[in-house]
Amino acid sequence: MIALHKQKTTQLFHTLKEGRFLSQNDPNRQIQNLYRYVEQNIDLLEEYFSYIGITIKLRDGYCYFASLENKEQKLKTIYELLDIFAFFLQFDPNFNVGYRFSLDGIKKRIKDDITLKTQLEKIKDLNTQTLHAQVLSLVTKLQKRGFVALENEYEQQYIVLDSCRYLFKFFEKIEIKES
Amino acid sequence: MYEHRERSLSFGEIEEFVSLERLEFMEHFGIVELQEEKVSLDERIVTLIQSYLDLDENIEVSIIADKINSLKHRIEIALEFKQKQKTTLLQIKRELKKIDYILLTNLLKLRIHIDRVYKNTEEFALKLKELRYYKEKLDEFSVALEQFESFLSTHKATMHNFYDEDLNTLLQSLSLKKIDLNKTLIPLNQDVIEYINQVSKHNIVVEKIIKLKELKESFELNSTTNFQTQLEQFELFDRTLTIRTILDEEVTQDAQLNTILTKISSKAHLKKQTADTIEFLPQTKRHEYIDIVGLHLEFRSSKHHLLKFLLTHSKLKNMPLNTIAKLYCKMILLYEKSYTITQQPYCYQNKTFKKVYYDSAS
Repeated sequence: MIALHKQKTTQLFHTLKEGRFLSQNDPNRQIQNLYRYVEQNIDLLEEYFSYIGITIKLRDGYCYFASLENKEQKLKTIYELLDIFAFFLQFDPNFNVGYRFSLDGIKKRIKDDITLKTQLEKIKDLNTQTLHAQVLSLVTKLQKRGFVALENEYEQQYIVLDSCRYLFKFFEKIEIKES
Repeated sequence: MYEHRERSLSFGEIEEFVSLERLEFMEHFGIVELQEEKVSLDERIVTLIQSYLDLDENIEVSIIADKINSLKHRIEIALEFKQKQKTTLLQIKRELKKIDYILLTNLLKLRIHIDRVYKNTEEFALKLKELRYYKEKLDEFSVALEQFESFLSTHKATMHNFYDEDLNTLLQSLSLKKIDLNKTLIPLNQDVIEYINQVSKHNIVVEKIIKLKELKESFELNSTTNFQTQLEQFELFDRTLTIRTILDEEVTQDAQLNTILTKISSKAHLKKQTADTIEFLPQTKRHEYIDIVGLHLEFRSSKHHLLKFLLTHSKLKNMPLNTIAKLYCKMILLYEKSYTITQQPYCYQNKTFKKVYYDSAS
């Protein structure tokens, strides 16, 4: 007999309901367990959530609630994510799934690289009180969406999660017309 | 520091591991070199670590062919000159052990170097070039391993006829190790191909994202790209949407919960519901794992071409054609050098495949 666990399903719902992604390589054990739960019960969860109009999708190492609605909000979100990803790829082109970075590392680079500093200043809705606060609020934006996770609290080291593949795939699909 | 031996590191990069005071101490003994706030490992230390761990950059397997020729020569001597058999057998055993050691160390080196290049090389073009170089080395290794396998299968019976217990034990252990080497080689091959693909693909995506940002800033994103079409298919669940479901704590504590659950259960084919679990009718899934190495070894002695071999294989009966086709492609990819891909078509279920044979000369 296969059964959905009520507590885990509730936890899953609350984790994903604000557009957050869940990744296999998240250092948080609770999230890892939740991801494993999705992997083991994806067919049942798909069916279960479909009755309340939600589509849960499990991809290569990550899962999320999918929705094609609210285009305007999506546009705002994707513009913001484009700016943030472009910033990180300028910071280090190796920025990809599994990549590790620290707040100090970003701050050091910003001090030496004026292009990076300008890019950071262009990103909207960041706390600009100090450089540290600015960088922290930038990383927090990705963290809230489940694209990066804090791996080492003491050293403030973060890891890029599997869910980033989803965004890379989206950007990859966009075709630029030759001028 | 050894991982980053090709460049100087800034103090900032290593201050969490070693203090400046210690670095100066190490400089005093010639272990590191300090120059304008940059630190690098002394060349002699790099050489020492490499020789101690036997981790030099050279992947050298071409020597295997010479060793095989030498072995063939010694077997002939042992067969023709009985008085020389005892000393020759010792040489044969030594050579066999050497080949085994060379294969093993080179495979380990390949694993280490491939991972190191993928994780530590920052420059994209350089990373790609290095990975392609190691892919070539990996192919050379596969050829050497196959030559050794072929030598063993041809000369095993002759060597057993010498009735030397040590030699027989050695041959048996080599056969087992050969399988292990093959098992390690397949994921390594897959990894390096995957790494090359990822690096090439990521490079393109990085350039694209930077370009898209430029277009966005010059308000040309919509006119010069298919951004709007892609956005419509972008499945991001928005945090501004409010969803009220039976999973919300508010509702689960509601007196109406039972009614809601009953309604859902009738639609979802739920068998029964309790406060803690919702049980579904069982859906069993069976996962089957296919031993590609085993198939390759069996295919070597088959008279059929690859697709027919797979279609008629007892373990693959009742498999859908898609799975068989995937297996066909994987085997060609992994053992390309040992197979002859002909232009002769083979039609099966309205699909055309090329006839592929095992190349016994390889």
